Amino acid sequence: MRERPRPPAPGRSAPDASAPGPPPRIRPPHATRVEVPSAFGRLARATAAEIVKLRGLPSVSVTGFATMISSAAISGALAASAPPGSPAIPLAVQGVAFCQAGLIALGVLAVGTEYAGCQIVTTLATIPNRTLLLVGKATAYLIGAAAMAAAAIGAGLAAAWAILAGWGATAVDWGPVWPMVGAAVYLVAMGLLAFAVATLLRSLIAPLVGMSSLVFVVSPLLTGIGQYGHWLPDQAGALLYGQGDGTARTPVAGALVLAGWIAAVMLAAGVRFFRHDA
Amino acid sequence: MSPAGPGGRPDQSPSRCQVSRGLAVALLRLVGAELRKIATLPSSWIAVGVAAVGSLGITLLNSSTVRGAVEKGQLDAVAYTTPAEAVFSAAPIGTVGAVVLGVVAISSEYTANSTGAGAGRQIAATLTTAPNRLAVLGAKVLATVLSVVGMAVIAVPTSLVAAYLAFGEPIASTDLADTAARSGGVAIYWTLTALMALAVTAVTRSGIVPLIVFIVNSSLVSVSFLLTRLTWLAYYLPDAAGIRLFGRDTLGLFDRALDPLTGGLVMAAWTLTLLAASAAVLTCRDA
Repeated sequence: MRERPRPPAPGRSAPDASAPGPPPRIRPPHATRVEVPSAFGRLARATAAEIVKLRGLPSVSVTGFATMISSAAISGALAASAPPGSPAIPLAVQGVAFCQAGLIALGVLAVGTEYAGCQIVTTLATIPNRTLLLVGKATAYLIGAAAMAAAAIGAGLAAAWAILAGWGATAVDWGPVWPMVGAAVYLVAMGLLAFAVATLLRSLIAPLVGMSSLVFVVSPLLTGIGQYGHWLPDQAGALLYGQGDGTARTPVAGALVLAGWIAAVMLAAGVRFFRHDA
Repeated sequence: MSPAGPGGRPDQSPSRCQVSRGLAVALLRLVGAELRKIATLPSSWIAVGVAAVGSLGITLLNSSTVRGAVEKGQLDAVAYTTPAEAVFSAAPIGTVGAVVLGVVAISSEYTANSTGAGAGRQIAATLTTAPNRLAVLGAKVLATVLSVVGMAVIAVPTSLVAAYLAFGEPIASTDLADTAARSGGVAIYWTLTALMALAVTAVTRSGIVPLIVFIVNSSLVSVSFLLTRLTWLAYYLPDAAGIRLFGRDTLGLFDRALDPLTGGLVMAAWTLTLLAASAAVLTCRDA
């Protein structure tokens, strides 16, 4: 069996010329050098592979378009029922409460489709380093989610502007800008939580049903009965784009609670992903 | 089969009565098969568990909050003071369970057994054993109705008993008829929602889109109720139409909603339309 030329292992110095040993092989001119990429390079490759996978899912493009359209429709409806002269940005970001379904779906799809069949086996065969895989997957999700969140909020703003300004007939009061940024951060963060839940549960349907029931059913039911709901991830995160009520419930506190949820679930998901068989 | 002849045995071709009895038996067998499929899916039992335990949990939280407010005399802090309201305001949780039951009844047929070569989908086996697609759809509809009604029979009385125990007051006789009507209304609402989810899944063949759409819209702060701020026509949307089947407007959210009978009929019309569309798609399209 012919021995293939191998690159020197990293961390090992090149053999000394004076040392005894086999004479150095002369590399044939057609042999290509196999380069071992740096850690950053490997992460970039893993991320690129995950982006290709994410882009190849029909459900992802459907989700993206549906999120944009529903954001525009909801913000437009809110603007149409708002009194004239209302600021556009705080109105448009209210549509985020519904658009988060799209980001939750994106986060679940990024992981859940691996477990819908046995694609995870192929994935781990190509990237055996699980840390690299998880970080690459999360980075790919974050890139896709940032684009989707920006598109959804942009569509909502455009619809609100079109209704409020009568297609540019009158000037529009935009209002404060920070709720827009907060809304984008909130959307990406809720999707990241769904990503973590899907990694923990290793399934497609269960995290999708669990996250959407939590956000759209349990959370509204708990608002009517006291303070229980304030600690839920969506109600804490909503402080990022909502109006503060002048108490300790500030955007920073809300962001910290939401980050705590994500960190806790991600930690559990990471432990399961590293320790268990695929 | 021998034709009847002089001195031969009489014609044994089945009579119309025998044919219809045979069809009924075949349909019953199909319904039994579909019920067995639903009962062996883990998602179905999770759905029933979420509906029953979730309803019970929210009911108990509601009850303790209302009871605390009543004992402190803060009546304006709560929207209602009856045990029945504590139960029926938790109904959206059961709607989630119903949606999951309706979706997985179809989507499980189309899930590939594996992504490797030679993997098949259950729908191929189903249509081989029962080639009549309308009969398969009908059996699935009946099996889903039975499962959702069974779920309601477990979830609603449990929550009602828990709420009455938590409130600690005797059941008033005038309350009972209304409570029974609303319990039936919840079962109808859940069933119709499950059937709509089933019909949509039969068209999409994947459970993801119908799950998201129906769960988002099963909440009391749904897109439909947002649209009712714009136009009264939104009260004719499927989820908003049937809301008075069990809901009483304690929060002033849907003061102009359709009354229970009209709303239920509108919701049933939506369901029938969607089922007809799914039947058309199922019979015209390759599996």
